[in-house]
Amino acid sequence: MLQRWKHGRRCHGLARRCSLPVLAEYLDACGSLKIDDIENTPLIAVDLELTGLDKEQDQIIAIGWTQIDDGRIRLGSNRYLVINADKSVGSSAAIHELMDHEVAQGEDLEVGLGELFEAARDRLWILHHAGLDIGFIKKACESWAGIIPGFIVLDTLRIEYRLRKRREIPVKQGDLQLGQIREVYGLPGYTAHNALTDALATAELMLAIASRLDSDSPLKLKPHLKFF
Amino acid sequence: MHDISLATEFLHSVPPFNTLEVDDLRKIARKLEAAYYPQGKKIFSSGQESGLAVIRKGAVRLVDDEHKFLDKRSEGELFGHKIWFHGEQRNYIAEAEEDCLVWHLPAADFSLLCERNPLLCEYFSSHLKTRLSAAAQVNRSVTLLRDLLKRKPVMIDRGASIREAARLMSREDVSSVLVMNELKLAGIATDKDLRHRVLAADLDPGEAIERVMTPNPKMLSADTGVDAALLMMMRQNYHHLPVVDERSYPLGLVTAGDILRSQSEHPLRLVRDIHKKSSVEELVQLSRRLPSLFERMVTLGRDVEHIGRMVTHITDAFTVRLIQLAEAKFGPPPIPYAWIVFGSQAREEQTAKTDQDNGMILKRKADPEEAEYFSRFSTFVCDGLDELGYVYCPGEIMALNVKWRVSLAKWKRHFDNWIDKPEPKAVMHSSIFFDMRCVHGQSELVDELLSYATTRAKENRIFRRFMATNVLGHRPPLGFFRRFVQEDDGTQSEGLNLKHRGIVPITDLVRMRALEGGIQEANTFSRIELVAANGTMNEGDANSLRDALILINRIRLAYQAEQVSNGQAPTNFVPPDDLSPLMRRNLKAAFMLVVEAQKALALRYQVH
Repeated sequence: MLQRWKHGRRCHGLARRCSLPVLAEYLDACGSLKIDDIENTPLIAVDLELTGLDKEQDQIIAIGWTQIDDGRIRLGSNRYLVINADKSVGSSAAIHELMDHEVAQGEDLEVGLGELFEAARDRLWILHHAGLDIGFIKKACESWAGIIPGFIVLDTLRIEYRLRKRREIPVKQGDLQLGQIREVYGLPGYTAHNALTDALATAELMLAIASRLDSDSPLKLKPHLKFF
Repeated sequence: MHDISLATEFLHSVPPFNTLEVDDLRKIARKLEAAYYPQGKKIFSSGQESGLAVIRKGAVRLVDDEHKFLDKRSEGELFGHKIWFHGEQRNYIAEAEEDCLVWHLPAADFSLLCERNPLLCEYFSSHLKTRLSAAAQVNRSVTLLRDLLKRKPVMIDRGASIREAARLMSREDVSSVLVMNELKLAGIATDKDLRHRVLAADLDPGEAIERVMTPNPKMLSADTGVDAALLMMMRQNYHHLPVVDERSYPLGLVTAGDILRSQSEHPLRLVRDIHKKSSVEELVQLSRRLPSLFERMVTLGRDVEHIGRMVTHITDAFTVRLIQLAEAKFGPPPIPYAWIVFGSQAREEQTAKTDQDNGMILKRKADPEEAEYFSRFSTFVCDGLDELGYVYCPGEIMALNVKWRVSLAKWKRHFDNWIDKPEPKAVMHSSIFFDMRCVHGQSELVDELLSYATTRAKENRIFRRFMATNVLGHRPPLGFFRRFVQEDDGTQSEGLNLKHRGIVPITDLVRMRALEGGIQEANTFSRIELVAANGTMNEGDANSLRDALILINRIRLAYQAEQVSNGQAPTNFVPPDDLSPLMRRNLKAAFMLVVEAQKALALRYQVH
């Protein structure tokens, strides 16, 4: 509760200092976000494609997201943006299948971030293994807006891990990969490593996890929030 | 990647959405809302607000308000709209039978979609007969020649001089010009005509272009499907054809190349390749491409009539090529002959699994030396076909068999025997010979034999009565469904032979009616059209039979394509568990139409 309050105060403070309207509005909304159960909280599931795992060296080359309202993913809100990076995608192309020339034709990172934060206004974030992607977004914001914004996140990996711990289910390496968990919940197999597909996959997984937590009352989100 | 392509790709496999253009699919996909329901969870009660739901993953059971089982739907199937259960439209509750991911199309968007698309509206209107007809129709959305036309045709009046025509062609940079008589197409003149008929013939370029054009060229309507157009062009060996509107006014020119380019990989490329090969081994190599080609045609949603014609056209090409190789190997034939095919190849209705049924008509009786030639000749061709995968006919109806390699006079006596002294077994065996087509050689021989046989059969009512009895011997398996629908969970494991229980009853019945009408065409769809046109069958019954044939065949083809893609040998046998409830409903309706047509036939011939 205290963490929530502190985080809100930080967001409002950042909003006042921020000169970019789209980010300021996001931060303002983030500071006073109403969080209820999954059916009554607007959400946005996000995934990034990266040239590598090191946020000091590597770059964002694609952003995908989709929004959830009233417990349903609105496919019309799907968005996929290729970002032009100045660095070669190198061997990471084997994972995300984006080639240098496609990346070169992409949007500027600033444009992508602008759209992302507009779409994320008034919404909780959903990410799978949030730490990595949030790290990259923070880094990008620093050079874009000169500030590091706050995020309130549902991390599907972390939630599933805690659920399994609580039920005393042993967790092995690889068990908590997005595709592996989805299989347990009977979700379709997707070709992984496209930012939009993974964002959708994460959104579906969040709905599946929420439906299982308690069949009578929908998932209370608060205990599962992570503040960045 | 497009923002919505993940959804459109899936929707594209879901009937009736598979009939829509990608742009329309995208519009629908953007309205979709994905929701997750764990096993046992209620999704909704059907009604005004339920909209339409697509099962993306998992299974849904539909139950009535007393929780009695009505139906089960699985991945790629729909619910939420009005559904008829056992002939009765009722409300239902949908609940997750397994964990499922469901895409909802909100009620408002669903009704808007129906308003804008009458074909979809009809599809969802639920009454079986309408649904059947809508289901038969929806897949017929094909690319038309109209869609391929790029530029307006270059036209010139027939009174213009050759010089003027040549200048016009240079200016427009075209190799052919359409010659017009007022608003009607009078002819076509090409570069080649200018070369051969003007320059080489020393003709005065001041003469009228009319003198050197090819008059009355073959034309195609702009509403011809590209598959049909290409098939026609390849058969007749035309390279480019004028495309005209309903008043025969030219809209443009289309070349076989334009059409081939419009389709990423076309079965008729295979036909072209077949003609280039000069050994059985090379042909065997080519024939390996057949299964995947067939699978592609089915998954691309080509309509069943065209798939039948394409597959047969390929078989014909292999046959003709083998015959040409035989002629090259054994020398020219001592007697004119016709190579004829029977059954599904004659009807142009072949699918993935097929054996060979063929014979030869010789212009006259062969002497022993000539007989030896045809023996070696036919053995080469039939063996070749077998190697290519068209296995030997189990009933030995093959040119290989000396009985089916005889003179025209002898063929007529075969038919006399069947028709004059009908006995059940002979009639049953003879019916395959009434589906006959020439693939190579002297087609006049075949025309004469066919006209002889159909006239004799038409005149002889006793023979036709025997045939009618034979037709009624293959009944559609409606009992199968009665058993099936009584099952609560559909776990019946008995199978269904779609060919013998579905296709054969229809082709038999239609052949029968075609004989009554004295029609010599072999293709079942053409026969249906012709018997309706000459009044032998009323139009409503004809349409019903056609729809039934399309539907049963579509299910059979889809199943065979799946077997092929799994690397299995295609069969005509479909396990009931693999039929979706929608397929089951459609099949049942199709079989009921066949039963009605059979009843009418039984009544007319007083047989049971």
